[in-house]
Order: sequence, then structure tokens, then C-alpha cells
Amino acid sequence: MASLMTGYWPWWLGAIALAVVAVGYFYSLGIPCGVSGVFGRVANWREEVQARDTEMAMARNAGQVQAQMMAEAMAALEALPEEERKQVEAELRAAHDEEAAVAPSAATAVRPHPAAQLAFLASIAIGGLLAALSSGHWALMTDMGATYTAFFGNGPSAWLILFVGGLCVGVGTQMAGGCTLGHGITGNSSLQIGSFAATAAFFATAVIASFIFQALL
Amino acid sequence: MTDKPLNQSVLKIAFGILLGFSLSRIGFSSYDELHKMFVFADWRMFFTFSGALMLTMLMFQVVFRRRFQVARPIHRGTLVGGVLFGLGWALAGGCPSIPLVQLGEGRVMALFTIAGIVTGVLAFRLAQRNYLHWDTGSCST
Repeated sequence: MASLMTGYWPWWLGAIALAVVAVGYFYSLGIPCGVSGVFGRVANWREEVQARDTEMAMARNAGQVQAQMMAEAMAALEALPEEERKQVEAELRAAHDEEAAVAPSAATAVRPHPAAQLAFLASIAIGGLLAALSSGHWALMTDMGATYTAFFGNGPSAWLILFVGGLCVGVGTQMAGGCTLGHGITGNSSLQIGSFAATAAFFATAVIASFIFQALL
Repeated sequence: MTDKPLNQSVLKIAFGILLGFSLSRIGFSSYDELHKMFVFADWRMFFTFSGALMLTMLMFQVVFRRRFQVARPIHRGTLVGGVLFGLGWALAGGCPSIPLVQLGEGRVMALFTIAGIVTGVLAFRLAQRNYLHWDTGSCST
């Protein structure tokens, strides 16, 4: 038990934890996205806010637009004879009420503010902080571990490699449309051919690159 | 499924904390452990990932009966993007959530990885808008 609190988890415990996150996130929020999608939304902050504003305006104005269309239709009906006008009017009103009853659901389709997405990213960091604190491993570290230092050193050159690696991750995940979570777990478990291909590609590349680093560095 | 934006945010944050905590305890945020997995020196994290995949598949296919399917067809970016991501993973140790976990653990240099990811996301978006116009099926587009 003590090793569970401070050391690395056995494979089955880690598998259960990741599955709970993948299934729970999808089930409770109804969104299949992984972390790369959230990164994309935060990085495109301004566009996200604009898109959100547009969605909110559309949801807000849906009722107004309908009411105006209704009024214009009524004005056009003035020209019709009395009997016919009453009948069409009643039909229009019924259709309008029906739509008005459905319209509020459009408001819930508004995407979350990128600040909420940023909060999600921050919560992942908080999870890491809690894990390190509770296992007594937290420390301010300027290296990335023994293996990393052996390969890439521990200074500006290593920082450059981190940045370049991050660049590859950023472009690659956006291009492939997913990451370890979005393709690797959610996509694969939905039996998607694109996710099989992407997972095979990124895993094989990482394996080959790691063997090369080990041989050369 | 919950529709209230506040509930959604709270749930999201709860899952985020659980994700960060788990990734750290599994060892995915440690480049040492990650490298051991990639050169097959230690199968623990490989089994962790495979086990998580099997469990999730079981939940999606059997328990929820395809109610939560996502469509991920193969497209132009699948292989190239996958290879780039794999290279980045081996170089920086980061599938996108990892540098965040590392930052939380006190590894401040993960900020370089995060800066790289954000730059990469923006660069691809720019290329996409001006030259490529690919349909990547990404949830971010």
C-alpha cells in the first residue's frame, strides 16, 4: 500500500484511472475531444471568443428574429380576405409557438469560453502538483531527468530541443486531428481507422526515434 | 450528460485534476520512464496504455452501445501528423498534457515545451487558413 502512495502505480491501476477519465469525460460532457483540441482552442483565443460571441448572439436573437418574421408575415396577410387570413394566422401562430418552445435548447450549444478551456489545462497541472506533493517528490527542478540530461544536456541546447519537440507535437496533433487521448484512447476505442493509423504512426516513430537517441547520444 | 455551463466547467476541472494526478503517478510525465517504454526496457506503461484502451473500448462498445462514437477517418494529415507528433513525443516527452503535468511537478523547463506546442498549433492554423485548407476532422477546428 505504501508504494501506491509514493511510487509509480502498477499497470492495472493506471489503466483503470485513465479509462475512468476517458469514459467519464466523454459521458458527462458529451465531448470526445482530447487535450490537443483544448490546446488548439486556447491557442486560438481570439477566434474562439468571436465564434462564441456569434453563437451567443444567434441563440439570443433567435426569438427576436422569429417574432419579426411573424410580424412581417402578418402585415402581408392584411391584403387577404377576412376568412382566409384568420386561418393562415392561426397556423402561423401555432408553428411559431412550437419553434419558440424548441429554441431555448440552441442556447446550450454555445461553446465554452476559452478561459474555461485554460482552466482545464491548469487543472491538469494542478493534478501533477498534487501527485508530486502527496508523494513527497515535489521540488523546483531545472532539468528533465537523468535520461533527458544524458541525451540532450541541461541548458540552452536542451531547452531548444524541448521547444522544437513541442513544435512537432503542436503541428502534428493539429494535423493528425488528435493526440494520445483523442486518437490513442477515445478514437481507437471507437474503432476508427484514422485513429489506428495515427496511433501506429506516432508510436512507431517515437520507438524508432528513441532507439536512435539511445544509439547515438 | 449535463447541459449547465457551470456544472460542465466544474466536471471538466475535476477530470483534469484526475488526469494530471494519474499521468504523474503512472510515470508518463517522467522522460526516464517514457524512454524505458519506447525502447521496450519496461512494459509497465505500455500495459497501462493498452489496458486503458481495452477498458475504454469495453465501455464504449458494450456498456454504452456506440452512443458515444467519434468519427476519425484517415485523411491527408493522419500519417504525416502522426509521425511529427511521435517525433515530438520522443524529443520533448510530451503528448500535449504531459508538459502541464511536468510544470505542476516543478519541472519549470516544461514551459519551453508548452511554448513550442502553442507556437505549433498557431503555425498550423495559419498554414491551414492560408495554404492547406485540409479537413483534419480535428475537434479543434
